[in-house]
Amino acid sequence: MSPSSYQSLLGRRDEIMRRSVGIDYSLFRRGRLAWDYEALMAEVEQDLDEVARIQLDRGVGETPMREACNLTALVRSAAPSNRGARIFIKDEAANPSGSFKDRRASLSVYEAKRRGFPGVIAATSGNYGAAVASQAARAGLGCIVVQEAFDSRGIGQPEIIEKSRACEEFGAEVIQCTVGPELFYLFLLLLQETGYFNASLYTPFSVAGIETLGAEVAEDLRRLTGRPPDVVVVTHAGGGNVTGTARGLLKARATATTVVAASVDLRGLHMASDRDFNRKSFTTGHSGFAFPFTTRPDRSDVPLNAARPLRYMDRFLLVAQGEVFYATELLSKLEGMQRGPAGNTSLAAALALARELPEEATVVVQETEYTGAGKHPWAQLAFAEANGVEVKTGAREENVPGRVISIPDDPGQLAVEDVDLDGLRQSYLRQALRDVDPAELDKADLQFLADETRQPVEAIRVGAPIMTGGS
Amino acid sequence: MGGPAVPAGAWVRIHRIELAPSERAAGIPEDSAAVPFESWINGWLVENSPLGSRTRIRTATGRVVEGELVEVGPGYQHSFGSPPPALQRAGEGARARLFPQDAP
Repeated sequence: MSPSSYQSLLGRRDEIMRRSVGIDYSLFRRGRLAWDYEALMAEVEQDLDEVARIQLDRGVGETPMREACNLTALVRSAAPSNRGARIFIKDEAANPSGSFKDRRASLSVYEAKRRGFPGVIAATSGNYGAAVASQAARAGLGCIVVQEAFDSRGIGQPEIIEKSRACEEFGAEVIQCTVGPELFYLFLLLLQETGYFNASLYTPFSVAGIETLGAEVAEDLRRLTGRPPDVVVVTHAGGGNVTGTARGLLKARATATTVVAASVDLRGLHMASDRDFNRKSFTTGHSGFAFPFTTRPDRSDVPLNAARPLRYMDRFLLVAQGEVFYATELLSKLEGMQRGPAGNTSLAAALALARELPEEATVVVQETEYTGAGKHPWAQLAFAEANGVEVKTGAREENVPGRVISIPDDPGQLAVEDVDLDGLRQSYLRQALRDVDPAELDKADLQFLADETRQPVEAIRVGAPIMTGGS
Repeated sequence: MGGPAVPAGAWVRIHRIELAPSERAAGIPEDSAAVPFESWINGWLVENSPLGSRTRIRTATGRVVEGELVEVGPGYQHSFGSPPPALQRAGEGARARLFPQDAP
């Protein structure tokens, strides 16, 4: 493959995308920047109840909601009096391939089948690949999963290798790649060669598939406590989980619920670096995805991204790697539930948040994921040590991404760091307005930017303060 | 190369260089730019071929893909490993805090 054919392939990107998703994204454009988000979401022809029925027919959804009484008791033992909210966990590991990603995959594969595609392709190293492979198996469709799996030594994180195995088990063709953004080029080549459906995480189908999760969370808590949850904590990476869950909560009239995004802090590690690749002890739910996808969502594998996390998050919290391993250990040792570890990012944040909240408040951790060989804290910590990362007992401040994982030994040490949402809004605007002449923007563009950043339109200043900031 | 041929129909693994270092995307970190972009795919061997030779496989989706034959019967060796002491201590401490009567 020569660089020139690489460039010509990228040049055909829009055409390949249009064919492979079955959506003409140009129809939604309304201005220089503006496009109609709700019109894009309306590409999903089914309402929430119909989506839920499609999912249930495929064994997806209606997962158990469990109250984690022992975790709540532990939090209260380290909280001021009358503090320590009730903690609930939505056990999404009960879905067919073991994670909430089945909700996204089920609607995507349903749509691929309905539109007559012979198969589906997903570019993912995570649970989504297994979910697409599982749903494709059930639908009798071909499936290719393209993974970033190895560094240049051919060494892969045990968690990703387990995903390779699961995809192969479900009958998918698995293409395991080394580190780099060129995976997208392979992905385009495959879409062009096979005529398969692009089961991207960022289509309206993939995001609408999660709305049932938000709605179930609201209904579960109404049944168990008489009212919707006060706080729902969502592990945040590409933004689909935050977006779909929040939209589902709104559709279930849980309008007063606070939506909290939580990511593992991996700041300082480069996501396209061959060397850093195996020094990340988390493959998703981390800041390396969460920051770029929050502030520049349309840099994804579809022209317009249906995941718009900045529109929906009320808070955005960072937790340390050691805290997630601690939360995973507590879930096993105190609740008798072996889950995760990657899905427990939101659990770690919930434990810290619950300590601040009154006893009568409720906090929901809206997902778990299955545990298996490789996808297990012992395997991940052993791999971290083998790659030169120190694993020790200690405070959250001692965590250094890629160098030290510091595991707390006291629930009182759990804390969260709030990401400044105003800073993220400014960063979003800077990137959206880069290379844009303010004179080209009309009222629709300004309204779009206001909606994207959840600010009144008067707050959108297309001028020097935004344009001259850092990155 | 050389050695006995692996029979057609065996489940095997091929390796491909997708992009040489000089063909890689602009702007990637130096450590990634210095190495090729590679891939590995499993499938059924199309014709008798010795390990190390260029050959073709038929994948799970029926695609025929060419690459270097690197493994016969590719499998998975990832495991659970041993419990890390820092994690065990944390779990033990939490149990003792919540159920002090059971503490060792």
